[in-house]
This record gives sequence, C-alpha cells and structure tokens, in this order.
Amino acid sequence: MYKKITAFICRRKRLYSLKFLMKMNLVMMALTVLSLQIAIAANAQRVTIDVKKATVRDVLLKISKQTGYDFIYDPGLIRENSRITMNVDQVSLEEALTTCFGGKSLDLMYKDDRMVVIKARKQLSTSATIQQREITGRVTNEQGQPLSGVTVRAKGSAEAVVTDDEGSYRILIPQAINVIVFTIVGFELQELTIGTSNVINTVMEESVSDLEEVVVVGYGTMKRRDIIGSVATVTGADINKVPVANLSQSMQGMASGLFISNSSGHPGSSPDILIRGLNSINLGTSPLWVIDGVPIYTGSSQLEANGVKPVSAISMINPADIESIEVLKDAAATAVYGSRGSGGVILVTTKSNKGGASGVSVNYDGGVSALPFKQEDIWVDSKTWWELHDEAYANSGFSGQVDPNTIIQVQFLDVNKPSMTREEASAINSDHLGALTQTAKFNQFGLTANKGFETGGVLFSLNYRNEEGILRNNDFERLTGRFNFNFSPIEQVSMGINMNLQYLKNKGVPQSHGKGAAGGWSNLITMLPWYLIEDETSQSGYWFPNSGYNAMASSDPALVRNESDMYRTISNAFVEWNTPVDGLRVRGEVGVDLMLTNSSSWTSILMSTTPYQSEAAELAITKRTVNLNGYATYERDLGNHHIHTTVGAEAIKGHDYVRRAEGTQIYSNYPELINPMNRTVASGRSNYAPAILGVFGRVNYKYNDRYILNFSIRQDGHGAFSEENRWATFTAVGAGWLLSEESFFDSQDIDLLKIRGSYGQTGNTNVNQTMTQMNWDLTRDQYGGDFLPGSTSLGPMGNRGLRWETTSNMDVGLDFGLFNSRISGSVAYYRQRMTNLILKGNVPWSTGFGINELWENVGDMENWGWEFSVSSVNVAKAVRWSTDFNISLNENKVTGLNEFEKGKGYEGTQTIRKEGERLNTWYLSNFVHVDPQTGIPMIEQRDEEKWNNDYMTVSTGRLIPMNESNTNANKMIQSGKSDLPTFYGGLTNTIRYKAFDLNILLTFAGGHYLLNLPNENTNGQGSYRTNGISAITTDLVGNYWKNPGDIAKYPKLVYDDKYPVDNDGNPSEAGTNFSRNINSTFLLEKADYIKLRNLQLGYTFPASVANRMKLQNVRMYVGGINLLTLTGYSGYDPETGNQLPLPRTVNFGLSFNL
Amino acid sequence: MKMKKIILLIALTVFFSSCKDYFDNPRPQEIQWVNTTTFDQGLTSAYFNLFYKCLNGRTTFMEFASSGTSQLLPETSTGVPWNEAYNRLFNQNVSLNNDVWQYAYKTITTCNAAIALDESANANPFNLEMNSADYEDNYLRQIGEYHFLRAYAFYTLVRIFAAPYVHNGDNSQQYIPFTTQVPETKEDIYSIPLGTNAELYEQIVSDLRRAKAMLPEAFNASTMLPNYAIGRANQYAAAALLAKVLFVMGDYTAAEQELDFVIQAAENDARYALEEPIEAFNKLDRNVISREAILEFHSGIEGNYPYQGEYMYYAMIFSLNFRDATGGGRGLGNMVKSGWNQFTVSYWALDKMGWMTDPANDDYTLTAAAENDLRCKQLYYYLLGYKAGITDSDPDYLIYESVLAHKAVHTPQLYIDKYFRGGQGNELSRFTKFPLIRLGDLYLIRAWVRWNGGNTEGAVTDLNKIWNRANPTNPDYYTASTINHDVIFAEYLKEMAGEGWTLDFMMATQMDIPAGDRRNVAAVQPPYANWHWAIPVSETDLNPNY
Repeated sequence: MYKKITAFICRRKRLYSLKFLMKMNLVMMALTVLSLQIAIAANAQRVTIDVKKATVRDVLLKISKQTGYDFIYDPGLIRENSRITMNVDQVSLEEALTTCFGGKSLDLMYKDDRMVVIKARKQLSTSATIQQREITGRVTNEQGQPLSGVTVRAKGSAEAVVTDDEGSYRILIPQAINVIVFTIVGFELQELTIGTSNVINTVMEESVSDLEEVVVVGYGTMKRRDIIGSVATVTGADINKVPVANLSQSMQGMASGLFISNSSGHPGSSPDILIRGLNSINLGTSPLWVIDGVPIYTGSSQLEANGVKPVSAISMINPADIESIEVLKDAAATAVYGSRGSGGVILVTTKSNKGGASGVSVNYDGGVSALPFKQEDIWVDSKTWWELHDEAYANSGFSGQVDPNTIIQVQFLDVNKPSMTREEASAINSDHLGALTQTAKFNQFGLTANKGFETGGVLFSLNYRNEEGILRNNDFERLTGRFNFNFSPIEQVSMGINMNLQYLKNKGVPQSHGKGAAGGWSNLITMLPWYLIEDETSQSGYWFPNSGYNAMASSDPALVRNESDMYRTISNAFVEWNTPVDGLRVRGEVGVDLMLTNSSSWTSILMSTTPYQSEAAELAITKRTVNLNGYATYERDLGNHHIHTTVGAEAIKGHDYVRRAEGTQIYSNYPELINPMNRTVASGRSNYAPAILGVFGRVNYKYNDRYILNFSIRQDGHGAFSEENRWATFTAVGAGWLLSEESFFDSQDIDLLKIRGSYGQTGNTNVNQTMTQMNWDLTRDQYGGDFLPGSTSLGPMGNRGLRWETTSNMDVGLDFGLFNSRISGSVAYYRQRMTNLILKGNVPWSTGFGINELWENVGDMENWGWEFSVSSVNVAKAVRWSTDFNISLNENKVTGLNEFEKGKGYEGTQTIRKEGERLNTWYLSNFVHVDPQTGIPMIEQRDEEKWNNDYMTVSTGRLIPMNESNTNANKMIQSGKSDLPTFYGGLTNTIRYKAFDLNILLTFAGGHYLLNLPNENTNGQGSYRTNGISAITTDLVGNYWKNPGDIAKYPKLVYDDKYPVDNDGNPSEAGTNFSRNINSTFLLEKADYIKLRNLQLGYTFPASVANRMKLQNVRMYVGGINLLTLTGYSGYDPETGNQLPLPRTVNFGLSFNL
Repeated sequence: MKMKKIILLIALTVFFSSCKDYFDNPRPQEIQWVNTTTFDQGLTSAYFNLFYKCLNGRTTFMEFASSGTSQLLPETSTGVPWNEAYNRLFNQNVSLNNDVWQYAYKTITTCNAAIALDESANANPFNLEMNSADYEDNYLRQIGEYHFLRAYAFYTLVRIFAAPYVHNGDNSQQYIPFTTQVPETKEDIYSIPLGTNAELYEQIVSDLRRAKAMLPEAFNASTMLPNYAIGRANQYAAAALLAKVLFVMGDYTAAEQELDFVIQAAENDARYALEEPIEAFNKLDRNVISREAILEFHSGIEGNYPYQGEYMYYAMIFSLNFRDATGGGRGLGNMVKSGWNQFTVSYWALDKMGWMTDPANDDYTLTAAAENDLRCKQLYYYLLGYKAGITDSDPDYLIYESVLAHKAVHTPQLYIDKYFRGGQGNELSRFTKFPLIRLGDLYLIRAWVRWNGGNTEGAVTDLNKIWNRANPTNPDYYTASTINHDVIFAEYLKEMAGEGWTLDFMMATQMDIPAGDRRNVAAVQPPYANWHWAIPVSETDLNPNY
C-alpha cells in the first residue's frame, strides 16, 4: 500500500490529490505522511501572490508553481473552491499558506523536499481505532420544512451521511472534529461548530447563486460556471407547481429560447415545442428528448378517427418524477448529439436516491376546469339569428321569411332530415356549447418512497391522474410507477437501474367538421341555435344524432367511442467504473423506450354518417427504441490547466409495428370490430425506424480558472442514407472568458461576468429510407383477363445522393451575477443557418414515376434572435421575493429554395414559402374596407406584371370586390406575418412569508398572426354568409353595413353568398360568389397575448402541528391555471387558435411526508 | 477485482463492436418482380396507365375535335378544353394533355425498368428454364408487351406533342424527353435529353418490331397467365400498330408488309374478320371479343375491385349515349343522351361522306347512301334540332335533340354513337367495347397504300371489303375507275370517325387537314409543322430542357 501511494503521488506533478485522498483511509494516509515529515523551519522559499477573488485551489497552484512544492490535503479540510483576495509579497511559504487559509490553524508536513501535507493542527491519531461520537439532528428550510438529501459531513473527515425525508440525520464523527458541514444544491453551505451537545439542528438558507450548481449536459455533468454553451434549466419543483397532465405544458415560459404553445385544450394534448424557432422546412423540428440517457418518442401513435385529438406521448411521464430538465440550445451544448441536435435537446433527469435518505412523501392535486366563455358570449341566440337572416333574405331580393326547411334540405343527410316550421324553429334556442362542454374535474395522487443504504439506495414512485376533458367524455387517465435502484456491488463500480412503467387511457371525442361528420368542437360553428339537441321520441334520445350538428350525441359513448390504451416503459441501466487511473471513469448505459398503443373507434348504427351502418376501427402500434452508449470521462488538473474530456460511442435503433383493421356493419355484444360484414381495411406492417450509430468526443479546457475552451465532435451514421452519404461529422468549438476573475476587474458588486461564444454544426435525423431508395409498391389497379391482385407502382424515386440537413449555430452570450449573485442571468445572441435543407421537390413528370417528387438538399434558411433571462432575489428578509424573467426573440428567413421555387416560391393555400420571407408567411389577399357606398368588401388588386416578372406582390392601387375568384387570384405576401411568434417568454414571481408561499407565472408571446376562423364561418366572409349554414358571432350585431355612407366592420347582409357585381366590381345581375374568402386578411388578426399561466398560494404547516399529526413537511395550496388572458385577438384563444381553448382551472393540493 | 473490471470493460467494448450490418434493414424491400406472375403486375400497371389513365378517350376527343370532321355544338360548355381543341389553339396549355403526358411517361418508365431488367440479366432475370412454357409463353411474351407498350406510349406522345413526321425530310426537331433508361439519381433525371422526331420514331418502330417478334399469335390458356386473356397485345396488334406508324412516316412499302401480315392472318387463318359494324362495340360479356378488334381496351366489368369500371370517359364528350345507357343505347328506356356531349360529325365531313344532302344550303336530310349504310345505322345517330319539354319516355326523345344543354342546337345532327353500346350500365359495370385498332381500319389503310402504289385492283378489293360489309345489298360499289384518294378518305371517315385515327390518315396521305365547319380556321397543309400541342406547364416548369 505504501508503495502504491508513493508511486501514485510521484506520478503527479503539481496536482493535488483531492479526490484520491478523500477516498483513502485517513489513518493510513497519516501514517504514511508522518514517516516522511521533516521540519518546516528549514524551508526558505519566498512567495508573492496578488489575486482577487481567486479560489483557494488556484492560489495553491500559484504557490506550488513558485515554490516547486506539491500539496496534499484532505478536501474536507480546505474549501478549495472558496474565493479569496490575497496580496502578499516575498513572504514565507507558511505565511503565504496561512494567509491563503484565512488564518486557520493547520499543520504543514514536508516530505521528499517537494511535497507538503496540509492537515489540521490537532494531530491525527495514529491508532486505527479512533474515538468517535454520534451526532444527530434535523435539517429544515426557512419555512420549517424538513430537507431531505442534505449531505452532512464531519469537517476534515470523509464521513458523510444524507438526511432522510424527515430531514433527520445520524453521523459518527471522530472526537477530534468539532465542525459539521451541511451542503445541498440550492442552499448556502453551512458549517456548524459542535459544542457539548450531540444534537445539532439547523436551518438552511436558500442560495442566491447557482454558479456552483452542477448541470447535466450530454454524457456528463458540468458546473454551471464552467459552461459556455446555452443551457437553460427548469427544476422539477418548478414544473410541479403547474399540475397539468403534460409535462411539457408545465415548462411553458420557464426557459429562454424554449417556445411551447398549447395546440388544444384537451387533456394531455401535444403542444408545439420549438427551441430557437423553426429550423427545418420539411423535416421535424421538435427537440430531441432524452430521459436519463434514453432518447424517447414524443409524438402520438393513437388512432385519430374522425378528427379525434390524440394525446402526446410526453404526457405519459409523471412530472413528479422529474429532478431537473436542461434545455440545450446552441451547438456548443448540442453538437455532442450530432445528427439529432438541430432542433435542440431537452435532457430530463429523474429523481434517484442519493444515498442515506429514507422516507415516504405523498401528494394530492385536484381541481376543476371550465371554458372561459359561454355560448351567449360567442354566438347570437335563435331570435337574432332569424332576424339577421330575414334581413339578408330581403337584401337579396327574396320575399317573405327564410324557411328552416330550405336550410335543413341542404344541411342534413338525404335519408334523415327533420322538418319544422318557422315558428317552431324560432322558439328553439339551444345551448350547443353547453351541451358539448362541461365543468371538468381532475385528481392526482402521488407517492414517492426512498430507502438509502450503505452503498446505494432505492426510490419508488407511484402516480395516478384522472382528468375529465372540458369536452364531455374526453377523459384522460394515467398510472405510472417508477423504480430506481443504485448500488455499488464492488469497490469503485456503481450500477443502477431506472424503470418507468406507464399506462395511459384516453377517450377521444370526434372533431370532424361538416355536414354529416361526427360532430365535435370543429362542428360547433355549424350547430345553429334552432337545432334541437335531445329528442325523447328518438331511439337514441337525441335529435338527429348522425347529422353532425348534435354536440351531445357526438360525444356520447353510447353512440361514439374512441379509446386508446397506451402502455410504456422507459427504462435504462448503467454501469460506471471509477478506474484506478485518477480522474478516469468509464460508463456504459443501455436504455429502451417501448410503447404499445391500442386504439379503437366505434360508431353506432344510429350515429354513422353512412346511414344505418355501424363502423369500427382498431389500430395497434408497437414502438421501440433501444439505445446503447458507452463513454469515458477523464478529468485532470495540470497546474493552471484543467482538462475534462469525454469520449464515447452510441447506438440507437428503432422499430415500429403497426396493425390496423376497419370494418362496417358490426352487430354483437362487443361491437368493436367483431365479425364485421364488410372488412374495409386489414393491414399489418413493420416500419424500419432509423438506425443511428455515433462516436463522439468532447474536450473542456480551462486555464487559470478563467479562460475556457470547448471542443466537441460527433460522427454519426444513419441507416436511411446511402452508404456513400451515411456518415457525417458534426463539430463545435466554444470559448469563454470569466472576465470577473481578472485582477484588473475591480468591482465588489459583480460576482460573475462571463463572456462566451460558440460555433458549430448539428444535424437533423428525421429522414427515412423512402427518401433515398427507389419505392416499389403495389396498387389496386387492374387490367387484363383474370385480375391479378395488384399492379406495380414505381416511385417516387429516392435520392441516393441525399445528405444531412445541417444547422450551423453561432452563439454569443454574457452571463452575469451581481450583488453576491442576488441578481444573475444571461444575454445571448444566436444565429442559425440551416443549409442543405431536405426539401421535397418535384421532378419533371417525364421522369415517369408514380409520384414526381424527389427529396433534395436544396434549401437554406436562417434563424436569429436574442435571449435574455434574469433571476433576482428582490427581498431576502422575513419576506423572500424572487423573480425569474425570460424573453426570447426569434426571426426567421428562408434564404434558399430549389430552382423551381426561386421566383414566386411555393404558393400554398394560405401561406407562401419564398426566399427572403419568414417560413409560413401568410399569403392572403389584402382586405381594405367595406365599401361605404355598396356595403361590399373590397380587396387590393395585385399587379400581375410585377408578380410574374419581379415576383413581388404589390397593389395596382385599384380596389376590387373580395369575391372568391378575386381573393384567390390576388393574394399578397404578408411579409413578416406568420403564425409563429417573434417573441415569447415568461415571468415568475415567488414570494415567501413565514409559512406562506405565492407563485405567479405569466407567459406571453407575440408578433404572430392567426386566422379567426369562427368569424370565417359566420360573418367573416366577404359577403355576410347568411345562407343558413353557420352560427353567427355576436360581434356582427350592430357592426354590419346597412345604408350608403356607413363605415362598417362587416359587409351588407346578403343571402346565398352573392353580391350583384362581377370580378371588376361592375354591376352583374348574376352576381359573383363571395362564399370562400378565408384567403383574405379580413380574418387575419394579431395574436399577441399575456396569460396568467399559473397562480398558486401555499401554506406549510408549522412543524409542531405536523408533528402532532405524525407527519412532516405538510403543505397545502390553492391556485389557478390560465385564469386570465390579455389579448387583442378576438377568436377563441390566441394560443390554440381555432382549436379547443385552454380551460380555466382552479386547483388545490396537499403534500406531506410520512 | 481488477480482472472483473477488465472483463466489464471488454464486455462493453464487445457490446459496441458487435454492430456488424448495423444499418441493414432487417426487412428490406422485396424486389417486386420475382417471377412471371409478379412481372405481369408491371404490365397491368403499364396497360392501366396507358389505356385508362392516359388515353381514357382524351386523345380520341382531341383528335376528333381538331380534325375538321367534327362540329362544335353551339352554346355548349363542359369542363373540357373544347375551344382549344376545336379551334386548334396549339399554343394553349390543354389540361387534358397533362394526364396524357404524365401517364404515357409512367408507362414508359415501367417499360424501361422491365426491359432494363431483361437486358441486365441476359434475358432471364427469374432463372427460368429457357425452353419452358413459362419462359417462352410468359416471360418472352411479357418482354414483347413491354416493348409494345413503350412504343404505343411514345407514339401517343409524339402524336400530341411533336410535329408530324416529315416524309423523307428533316426530322431533327426535338419536342419531348426521350430515354430508354430508368433514372436513378437526380443527375440522371436532368440529363434526359429531348429526343429528335427521328430518334423517337426509330425507337417506336424498333420496339414494335421487337414486340412483333416476341409476342404470341394468341392467348393460350394452358400455358399463359390468365391475365393475358383479354385486352392485351399480341403479334398482330404489334404489326398493326407498326403498320399505322410506318404509314404515318410515309414508309408505305414497309407499312403494306405489316398490313399484309395482319390481313392475311384474318383472311387465311380466320383469326380476324369483318363482322357487322356494331359488333366491335356492343359485347355484353367481357370475355367475348369482337373478331374485328386487333387490340381493344378492356373495361373490366366484373368482380368487386374498385378499379374494375374503367371506361373511355371522354367518349361522353363526343358521342350520343351517356355511360349509363342500357340495352345498347337504342330505343326508349335504353338511350340516355349525354348532356356533356359537345361534338357531332361536321357538315363538311358529312358532305364528303355523302351522307347529308346539302348542309351548306340548309338541307340536312340524310341521303339514301347514309340510310342504306349499316355504319350510319348502327354507329351513328341522327337527331333533329332541339325540341323542348321532351322526356326520355316520349317517342320524340328518339327523334329530336332534347338535352337542355343542347337547346341552341337548331339543325339536325349526326352523332357518333359507337360507345356505351353494351348492355346494362351502372357505376361498376359499363358494358361496352373500345376497339383501339380494328381490322376495318387496316383494310382502308392498305387500300390507300395499294392505290398509291399503283395496285389499283388490290385497292379496290380492300375498299370493297369495307363497303360490302356496310352495304351488303349493294356490293362491290368501287371499281378501278372510281377509286381515288377522295373516295378512300370518304370511306375512312364513314368507318373511323370518332375513333381517333382520321388525322393519322390525313397526315399519312399528306392531304390537307380540313378546316371543317369552322370559319376562322384554315386548312393545314403538309408538313403540318405547327401541328403539335404545347408541352404541359407542369413539365416545362420543371424540365430545364424547355
């Protein structure tokens, strides 16, 4: 042993044996050292040091450099990362060291003329049996809540334990030690001197600085202070303050650069998630999600029959299991993920037992949700509806009143039409919105159990959530269980397994739109106030349930059922070896994301759109992603140089198995597709999901603790590409300068000022074999004698030359900490250039393939913007008030398209893709006004010559009627206007006072524009569309044109969508059709909004009260989600657009430890 | 302990190094053509695309409307490009031509793929016994069919989009892309050149000769795949199409050889025959093939497959009966007049045919010659001008034009009535036959070729074959002294109007293409250099060669 230690020490130059000695038996170390000691007085080395706010570690390095001595010490003895200012000139070594250690009494022992062992003044016992005493106690936070997971260590000793869920600890320490150190992330370190008492209780204060916080990065961890990439962190505690079903929805507004927008108010629905904007045109742009090292599937695999909204696979994750989430944004952070990093990376770390903690915590959340408006807030009542129609009828030259049967005749299924008189219809005023929606409840119960032991620990969690949708029978149910087990079976080797078992059941409601469709939210606008809902005389109890206009019928499980059961495990295991080579660790991980989804859809014979024919469908999808990775990390100090390297390899392979069956005319006790008379679909297929193989490396180099360099590289191979293009290399370089560490930087108020920058590449792997290989298929075309079962379909031709889509990312940032880090934050500017975008282009039809498409690397696009985040502790007294604010700006421009889109671009129905414009720029005719003389809506005429020759949409200056023909032929590029916000962010205020805590989260977004479709179907048409097919919004009343000279918002009321003018505005007896003017700016509205996303007031019971209940850490809260929205957008919801709005939720909860 | 850790490290290393064939797809796509049965699926696709998706009556409509043999009914307007076709607005993009272009090239690419497979595998990609029936009666036949279909598709394209072949002249003009390879890369696509007319016609002739050599005489149920039983090309179809192409190219001698080959088979081997004119169009059973049809489009009529009801859709634009006519489309209760019909036989053509008394001077009565001609009686229909208020059960329905869309038709008209002449019609089964090449056509071409070559006697014989079939009570009408181009052309019009080939006859014989009844259109003289339609914009926008 002696030889080993000596040899080990000798190999080191001026590197201090920190971790090594910490792990060694102190007694053995002392014996070794003592045998070598010589007198310090003989030493005549002189030392000159002039540093400001340098770490003790750095100062020691400097002394070492000047004296030639190496130092050996126990890290428990010296706070090597604590910062000191020191100015000594030509002093002795011991004086310099004494100054460095702040006058602390320490013994210095020399050996071999080049080593100094630093130890506590009190001589260590030379006996192997040290006298020990037992210290017990309890650690709480400032609110009196027990803190679990606090590391309690005897100062100067390797002995350490962790507090349990009650905050309690028990530690044996050497009699000679009289200081105990308490540490936990997020709180200030505490050192307490032990007196005569063996019971030490303490209250930890929250840290105002997170610079020393360890942050998870790809394949490892780093101190936040040393990170030069753009990484934002969201804690599990923050997430759980917003108790919604989908984890990603909880993150909204909490991280700069991360845009999350809810697409629908259905429980568990998939929000749009973008990191630094859209960075692809045809491929997916969603970030890569990695949970504990396992890349996971985040889409949906549910059956979406009749427009049923699926739930996101992310909503299967229990938010209470989350320890923290890191959002990696720039290339310096994401390049190590190479081909998968272009959309950014979201690293999720789940909770695990850190050792020593034991206990059980329980939580309950519940609440009620409702739509923020009622039927009468949006739609006119039946009486008004008929009055408006009669007026329109008269305006169009018809006499008499509108007959409901003329509308019924057109709108209802031919075989199933009601009949009613005008009097009967006028007497009905149905609340269709009320029938479709409900006040919905949710309940969530969670339990987490910890048990620590000597070499590891176990964590088990259980969560059950039951949530009703605000659409009736749109229910969500989730049960998750998680098992985490870490241990060290042999010395220096640790292993662990993390197993998530998840079950989710979702009941969907059809959303289809239109006559004869299944009904649902999208059909709401066609549910006229005089359509009945219930009919006691009908077999179903509903009034014409299969019309598509009966809201209750369309969600009644007795008539329509859409259900999905999802089973999932996200599991991983690891082995880590802390090798004998100091600083070298090797880790191997295996993970799997396995998800089974069984969906079924059934429509009753009474509900089917094909009259008297029941329908059913089944879909089963098994998705699997297996991930293997292994990597080694090596960390070493060489004088003023610090190197941290990571080298590894990773293999990812996915697989999908899809089985689908559909049929009609099913009659049985269990109608879901048993014995259909007509089986319309029966298919099974196995998709070859991408196979990725990668090798990666990363080097972090730091000099003098202030100059940081980072280089990362990854080479990935992807099975979808041809062999010659299969592999690509992604690199990134970054640099950082801790300006505040420089001696010339003289400010007591600035704790941290770090300038950082990076540049690098990432790729996009959302590609598949059909893009690169010739596609053969069979069609059902037949020709000839006895029919063959199919015919050959050739193409589209894959492009073997297809290469990676590459994102080059430049990032410049400034991180700062002020006033003892009471204010901290960062500012960053980024610029992304996406090159070789994989665009689906058309090839000449003469190529002769079934589809004349070809994927090509032809597009270029840019994203750029600013990100700003700041956290402050505004008040830190009896009242503690902290604020977190972030705002992100994002701009986007398409800079290159394929040769056929270079001029006019790609003209979609309502958007255009064109060089020089934002992606998804609106492409709509310019509505100008309602002509005051005629009441006809007018648009600008487009200069066709300019468009055809210069590809510019400019007005001729002439106004023409906004009829269907003109609207489609005079679309203008709405430069700078798209549905993607140009700024977004969040503001969180947390206030604590005694036992109360208040959390207020505001989220905002703006700069985007949305079409207000409810208006399109009612009064947004060029002509007022009162031909009886839509409900009418209340905004129309009093705002439409009546007489010449009127300046009106809405045009003159006419029937049948026609005004008596031709395309040029000249009188025309036949008139022209104004029915479909969704393609004009009439409906386009700015959609800026600020939302009171979350409001939560909590109260923590005093420990004395909790103890009486035999509980600890008892907290209850009341709160609300989406309680208030400030917006100028007049549609349903500026976030979800025309989809189901986000509900207002009032919630409450209780949590405690057993 | 150390050993354990080393083993652990090795295990991890092995774990990651065992990734051999990592990127291989465990379920790679099977090459579809693995035997003659699946190879026939390629033919199904090629036939389906060419005959149903490409032709579909479109080319017949365009030919009839532009040829001068048709009359545009006044004040009618359907969704077809009637104005462009009728008034020969060649520079206009004609929407119907988009499908012609697209599906002809799909056919060509499928054929190119099959022929390339054959060539790359030494004519035996499925490792068949070379002397087996499967190889000889199926595989070789299939390769022959691929050549035939490629030729037919290219010929369809040059007829529409390229200037007519210049007899003994310069055919170096380039109009359409030409390749016999399947592109595999983007560079391949953009290196496909435009072919000269000479190259294209040379390829067409070459393919047809190859097809003729490889195709069997007829279907053999004992050795051939049943799919070949109907609607498919045999060596006579290849020879007949080759004859028609050579005729258009002005190579009359070679054309006559191919015509002789087919007609001899008809006359000596009784393989084909001239039956009553209606017999080529009125079969109720898909398995019953007219003896006159050398090649017919098979409009599948049985089974439960979704695409079985193919038919020549655009025939409803230029013929009397609608697709749901019943009982052969004649008589009350059976006749269903097409409300989409916009074209009838032009008065100019009727005058040439001798079937209308004096339409130029408003005498629209049919002549005795017309009344006695079985073709006129069986394949055309005479209606007086529009009479309002007639229902389809009114006897006047059979006498007067009564379709509301035709209310401006005030003068009597002779309608093409060759299509939808089968039995019961409905969505799934439109019983009718669509001959693509028939014997009567070949007799008339040979009559002209013989006449042109000085074989007057032979020409008279051929012409009288056609005459006698239509006028059995007045046989052998033509003699050596009365035969000439005009009478042969008149017989051609009577026989072939509305079947898509009259322009070919005019161009092959280098006669002027008449203006017909149009007032603002002039006759077009050889070499008809401007007679080609605009290349679809969907192609010119994407093809750098344009």
